[in-house]
Amino acid sequence: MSVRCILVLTVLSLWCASSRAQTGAKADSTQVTGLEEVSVVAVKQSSSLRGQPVAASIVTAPQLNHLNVVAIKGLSDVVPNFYIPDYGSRITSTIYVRGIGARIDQPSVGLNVDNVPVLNKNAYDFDLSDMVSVEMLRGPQSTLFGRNTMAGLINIQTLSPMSYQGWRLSVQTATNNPFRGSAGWYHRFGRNFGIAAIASFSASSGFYTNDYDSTKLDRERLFNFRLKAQWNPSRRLRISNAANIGMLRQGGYPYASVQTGKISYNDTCFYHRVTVSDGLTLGYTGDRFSLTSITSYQFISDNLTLDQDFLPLDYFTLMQKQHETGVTQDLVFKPVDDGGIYRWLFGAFAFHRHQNMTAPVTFKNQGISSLIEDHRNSSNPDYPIQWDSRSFVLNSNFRIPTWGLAAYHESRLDLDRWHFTAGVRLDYEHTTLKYHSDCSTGYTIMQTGGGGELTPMRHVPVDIDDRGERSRHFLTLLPKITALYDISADDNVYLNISKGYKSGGFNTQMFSDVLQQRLMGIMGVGASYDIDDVVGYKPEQSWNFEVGAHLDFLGGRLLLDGALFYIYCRDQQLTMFPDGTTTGRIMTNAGKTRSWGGEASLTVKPLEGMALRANYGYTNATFIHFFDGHDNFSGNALPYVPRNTLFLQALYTFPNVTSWLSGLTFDINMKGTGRIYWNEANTLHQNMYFVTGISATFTGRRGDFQVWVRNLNSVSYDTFYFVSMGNEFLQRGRPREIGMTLRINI
Amino acid sequence: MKIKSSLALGAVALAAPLLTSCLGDGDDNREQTLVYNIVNLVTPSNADVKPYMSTGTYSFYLKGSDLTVSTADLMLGTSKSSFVTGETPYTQTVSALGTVISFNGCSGNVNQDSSLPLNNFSGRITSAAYYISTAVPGITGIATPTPVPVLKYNIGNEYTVRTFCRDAYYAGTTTTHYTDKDGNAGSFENKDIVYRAVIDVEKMTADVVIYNAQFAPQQPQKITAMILKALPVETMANGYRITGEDIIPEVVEGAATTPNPKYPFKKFSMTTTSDNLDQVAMEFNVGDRYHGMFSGVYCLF
Repeated sequence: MSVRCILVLTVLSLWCASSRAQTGAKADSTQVTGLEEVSVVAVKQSSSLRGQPVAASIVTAPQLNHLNVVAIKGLSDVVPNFYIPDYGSRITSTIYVRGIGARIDQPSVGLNVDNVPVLNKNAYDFDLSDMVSVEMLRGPQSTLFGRNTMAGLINIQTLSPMSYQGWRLSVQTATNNPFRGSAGWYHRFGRNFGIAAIASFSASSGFYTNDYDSTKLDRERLFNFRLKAQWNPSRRLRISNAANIGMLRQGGYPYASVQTGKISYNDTCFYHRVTVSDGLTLGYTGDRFSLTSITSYQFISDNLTLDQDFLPLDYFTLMQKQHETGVTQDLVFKPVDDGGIYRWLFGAFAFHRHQNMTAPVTFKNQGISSLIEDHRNSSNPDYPIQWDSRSFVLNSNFRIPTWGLAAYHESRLDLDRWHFTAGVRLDYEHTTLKYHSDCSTGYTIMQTGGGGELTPMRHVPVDIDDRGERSRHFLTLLPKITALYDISADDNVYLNISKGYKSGGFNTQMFSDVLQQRLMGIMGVGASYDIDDVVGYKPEQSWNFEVGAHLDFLGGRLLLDGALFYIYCRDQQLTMFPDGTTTGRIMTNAGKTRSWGGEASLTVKPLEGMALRANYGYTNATFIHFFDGHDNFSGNALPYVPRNTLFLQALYTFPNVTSWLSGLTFDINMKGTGRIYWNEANTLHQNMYFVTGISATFTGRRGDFQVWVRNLNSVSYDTFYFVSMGNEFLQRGRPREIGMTLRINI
Repeated sequence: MKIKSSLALGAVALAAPLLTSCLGDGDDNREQTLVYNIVNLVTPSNADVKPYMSTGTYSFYLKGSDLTVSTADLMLGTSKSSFVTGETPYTQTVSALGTVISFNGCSGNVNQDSSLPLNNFSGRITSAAYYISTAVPGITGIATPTPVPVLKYNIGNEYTVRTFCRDAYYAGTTTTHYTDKDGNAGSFENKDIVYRAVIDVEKMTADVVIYNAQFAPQQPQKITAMILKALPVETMANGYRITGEDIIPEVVEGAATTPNPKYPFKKFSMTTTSDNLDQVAMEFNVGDRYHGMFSGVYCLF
């Protein structure tokens, strides 16, 4: 961190302290800060999730600031049984909740940002300024929120211009992360119209070094612009629109070889992404009924270029480019709450997304030698082959249009202290894969001449031009029943039985392997892949049985939320690296799995200004039945699922320290994760590890200044492990980071 | 993950519609004629005369629930002979795997000669025969798969005739005993290997194609298709045998084949083991490294 930077921050801090008074942030608040807009979760469920039969965690702005959370990855382990390992690049948002998760293709956890359901998991990892709250609903939310919410739903609400007017500025610097800044302008025109424009930029020099060329691998530049408008033309009508543009340029994939302990590869790796989204929410409340419409448009264009062998050798590289557009429409119709015992809602949802992708794999010298020539020659050494060139391309182009329709209903019956809910959703989805794969190359078969020298025998052209189309459609019924009993106004216990669903589809990553095996087939060796078998995968379905409680003691000074769950999952989608020397990952339906466990969240405020928080999650997730054709993994733990998540936090705020320092808050926290198994055979694992963080926040009248440390104890741990082509790789967790954040509200 | 071979077997489903059109719909006047080329294995009752093969054509005229069988080119000795049977009831079985028409006790006389009556005439026409569509260079087989008539009948006390397909794919279980590079003995059971025997009746030779050839789990690569060319075919009293020694197989590679001396077949034999010639047993020795045995059929039913 430069001296100039330190001086700037210090000056700004002093300016902040001398400015006219504004209310400083409280040490801890579990209350949503002025959420004056229509939240899709509030519309479909309730704005008070602790009164609902659902395990939910709500993280509000003060807590997000204490932990310096700007992306959902920052909440990993803070929320019980909610785990997002940080590895690879921002294309990777692998979320595991209660043992359910997905590394590629369809997500298991839905994500809404200002009511916009993000369709493509490639767009899940972004920085977002001025988040007001992040709600994490655990367990299937499929009945109300549909596809790909099998493990839960994340709902992010950003600050509304109707709640705040003025400027919000923030700047942050840290070791290996030179700059992150945002500027938001919030303005209200009259009583009924407000607009906000927020821009943010971050630049990171990266943590990991490529030993091959001594460059930093995970450099990043991220820009985001959000325009939010809210208009309440009448007391009955609310209109809000949130538009977002994001641009990302990132290195990535700091995978270290287990054998050498080093990250070293010779070809370029990067991830570039542009996202555009717009969500329009219309809410009309009549005398007896209300209607809410949520319409969204989203576009993503990204480029993933990868040294696919992650070695300092010329095996192969991938350049995957995709463009995707998507539109969604959600309608919710329900009566105005008249205090009656029966309530209901009806809803309809539709979406369409169209994905265009090119994914050429370039085979290079070492790859041609080891993966093609050697394989062929080992089966017929008397007639070896020589490839025409030391580089060729396997081209693959895809078009994947997908559309879906759903209708849903929920009824609620309130009988004194008992509340019963029954819901059902009928969900239909149709997806098509149109593919075109081609390759033009060749090789020469050699023979041993009379003098013992090798001479050409004949040339074999390799001309592949495969086109095809596959379609799948899925029709699913998603029921839910719940019962909740109010012990008192603030305490309840509940039972929740619901079905979860994650769409099937096509895993295009395997096409390069399909082509490679096709190529081997031309040479007379190997086994060709059946496209339907390796590219298509079925939907995943689960049944979730849950009992829980939301308890309030001592007038809100002690809050306890707990849940016990059992999940039975059929056709769980697992990502596997197939046997042998193939490169892609297969999405396979792994037979049956089950998870059981529990969660507990405890918040205690023993003294004014003090808050103690403990969140613990336990998940025991195993295969009931999984035979991959070679090995039987029945009874083994699911890989990549942490058995325990733990978050401990102690906060204390000294109020009114000086005339200009309205609060000084110390925060010490610890996250614990593990054990995590890295493979289906459970032969490798990461033991449970604990990462500590501390911060000190100086709160003035117009903002705050925070110094913080992440991974204070410099714990060394692994976030990801895999085997590719017989080589083992892992990614290490981030080292200690020390930083400062300045937030100014004008 | 188990990878299904693209050289997966299919039944001869193409021909199934031809047979299913004969499903009874209550119309006893429904008629259809099915014509198939097949190979006759003729075994004279005189043990001094060697059994012989000849190609032939059979016609099956179906009307209602009865059929008649006829042929005009059955070689008895050096002469072409013919017969038309009387009407015989048949049964038809349709399943997802294919269609079979079965019949017994057809009667008639060869060349209208009462001294050459047809006896013990049993047979079936089955579409549930294995087939692999991938073309193999240098193999002249049957281009388009058709249902197979599997017939057996006696002609008086003079001959026994059995029919079989000259281009048949056999599926079953191959068990290989091997010694690995460390000298450890092992055995390997493989149901993916498919064998194809294409017989040249004129030359009395056969090309044998071995698909998905893998004789041991640690074999470096599965061979998509290897060919044992021009093996002698020998008739026996109740069947036939294909044998060969010291064969260097040809491996399909691109649009042609490449010799592969790494898998020399020191011995190979295929022998029919069922009375109607649809079942075979094979034995082979590959370079004294792999000793294999196979038992299988070319018709599912």
